[in-house]
Amino acid sequence: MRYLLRVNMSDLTITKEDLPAGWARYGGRALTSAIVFAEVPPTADPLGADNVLVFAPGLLGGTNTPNGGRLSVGAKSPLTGGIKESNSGGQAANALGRLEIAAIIVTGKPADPDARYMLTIEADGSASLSRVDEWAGVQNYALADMIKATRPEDDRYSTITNGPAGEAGLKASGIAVSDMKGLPNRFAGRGGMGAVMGSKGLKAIVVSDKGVGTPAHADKEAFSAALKTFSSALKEHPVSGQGLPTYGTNVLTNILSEAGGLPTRNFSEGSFEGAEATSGERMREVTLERGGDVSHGCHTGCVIQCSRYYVDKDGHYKTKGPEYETVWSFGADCGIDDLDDIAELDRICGEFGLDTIEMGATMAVYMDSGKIAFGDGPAAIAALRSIFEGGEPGRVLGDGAEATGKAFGVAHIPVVKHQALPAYDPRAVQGIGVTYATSTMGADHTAGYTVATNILKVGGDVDPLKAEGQAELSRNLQIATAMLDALGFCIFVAFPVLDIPEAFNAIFEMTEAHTGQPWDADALMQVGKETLVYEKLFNDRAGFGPADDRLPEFFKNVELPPHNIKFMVSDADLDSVYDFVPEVAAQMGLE
Amino acid sequence: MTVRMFGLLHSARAAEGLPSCVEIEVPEEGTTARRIALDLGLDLDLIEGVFVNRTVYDVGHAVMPGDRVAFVPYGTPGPHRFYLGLYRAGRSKTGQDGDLTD
Repeated sequence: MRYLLRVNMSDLTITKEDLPAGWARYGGRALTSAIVFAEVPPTADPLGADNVLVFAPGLLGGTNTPNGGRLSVGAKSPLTGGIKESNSGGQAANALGRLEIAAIIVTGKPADPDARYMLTIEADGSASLSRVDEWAGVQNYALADMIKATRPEDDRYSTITNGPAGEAGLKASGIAVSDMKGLPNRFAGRGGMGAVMGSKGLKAIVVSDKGVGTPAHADKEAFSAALKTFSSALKEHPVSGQGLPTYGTNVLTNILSEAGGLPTRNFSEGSFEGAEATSGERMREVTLERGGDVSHGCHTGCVIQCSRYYVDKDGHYKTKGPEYETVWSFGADCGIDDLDDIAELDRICGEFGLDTIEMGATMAVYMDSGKIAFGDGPAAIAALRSIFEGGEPGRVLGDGAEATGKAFGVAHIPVVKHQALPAYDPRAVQGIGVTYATSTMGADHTAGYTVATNILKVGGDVDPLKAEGQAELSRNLQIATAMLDALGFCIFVAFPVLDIPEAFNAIFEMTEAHTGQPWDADALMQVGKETLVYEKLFNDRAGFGPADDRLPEFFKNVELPPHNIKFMVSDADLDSVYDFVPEVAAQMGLE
Repeated sequence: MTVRMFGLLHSARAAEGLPSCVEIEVPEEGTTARRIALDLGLDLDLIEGVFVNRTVYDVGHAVMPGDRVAFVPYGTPGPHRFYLGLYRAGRSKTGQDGDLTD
């Protein structure tokens, strides 16, 4: 039976609670958002005792569901000022799911701001807090080694760790999650979740699942049959079975540059002359030449295997990926065409615990100020290091693109709800602009990711350069994505789900067979809608309004080469995206 | 004109020791993306769409001298497959060319 583990950092108590019946259908993002909605005053200080930090595996977490091992991290965001769910790969969700922990809810904050704690959850379900003040300021990779030294040699465990950026309360800080080899290279990166963890004095969480099996299914035979169908679909589909395993997410660099939608030099152009040099195709060649690993899963049960290890010129591990968004942010957006420089910037973010999307966008804004030149990789590395190692520009970078832009007088600051836009220019890809503008998360490329035509009867027919149809497409994609996040799925499962009807059916068949409750397509989508209702109502109560669901003015006023196009979706269309909320909120008994 | 080949098309070319970016001649009256793909020995079943002057079309689309062309295989992740029109292009492959014949 799934349960909640509540950790009170004010009085250092840990309690186990039954999962409320009303949340029995929730996991992952649905659960983190429901808990934040229920427990956090919308106007609370994100770094105060009234905020909560929630870690939740998906509803299918801990099972051997293919690609069902994502972790949702939720809280009120110090970056956006609204609700946040930041989603990570890595092993922790699988371990929590095996232990049948629906969520860890971290509340309060310690009286001593210099105190550091490690939460340890053992395989028998016991949990304890230990004082680790000597780990203050330790970077993520060294921290992983220190934790390893505390564990039995034959243990099987995963880690959730907070680097110095989170401890310092920086708004661009993220939380690291260990991968299958124990490397802290997967991140709940967006929205300053590291700062929330830091405010609670929590330096690390260790979850041991040694010897713990997968949770029992209500109907094992039916679950296995649906799993087999789903796994086959993932393997046979060209996106999940070929494109992603071969090149990883960075297969997008060449495509977006060719489409004129790759934001370049702080969103001033849509095509990057260095795209080929930083592409997934090139990265694969470089990695293979140096003896790196070009395909593995980031968590147990991954059959897509799109993760990779980038190695330096001597063949030594440097960082994971880097993923497409990181290659873009420190590459095209900064005008840098050297993969080794990009990998170094990624590693520094990994050590400090910083969101690579926010930091690349921040660096581009800083470059736009003229303080350092676009394309100067070594200068960017020095600037990033200055956050903790001294020199210019220093700590301001760690608070993100908006703070940096304001500090250095930059006119074009690409943020929505104070969060930097990811790797797709909304003028060349109008639909993603709708999602950036309206997402409850702030500008977020993953918020409207996934399922379309055969399930939602939309998609595939919109023109990327026109406004028509974009709001409806974005709405349905946001609902479907929230559903996948609630189940704990990697969003890349969306592609076979779209093209292979049996794959979508397998999702609710697995859910039904695991939980023993009736599920169908409508029930899945209802969870997605309810998730968005919690998030929208929280943000409304925190003071957000229609003006916050807008792109920065320059996207509407400045043409983007090479298409020479502006963002054209009307405010009325943007305001229609969440028009389902009142009806669903009433169904939920909310206002 | 310059023709680029991305993703798995890049790999397929590399496996044969061929470059993924080539210069070709196009007749004055134009041709089609399908014809170019066939001339380059690309497997049409691998191609989901083609950029012509930075906009996605199906492979039946006309190509004129001076156009910019890039072939995209199946396997593009993200919502961009929809937002950029790749999904539509892949679904609309009819086996027939648009304005020109092979």
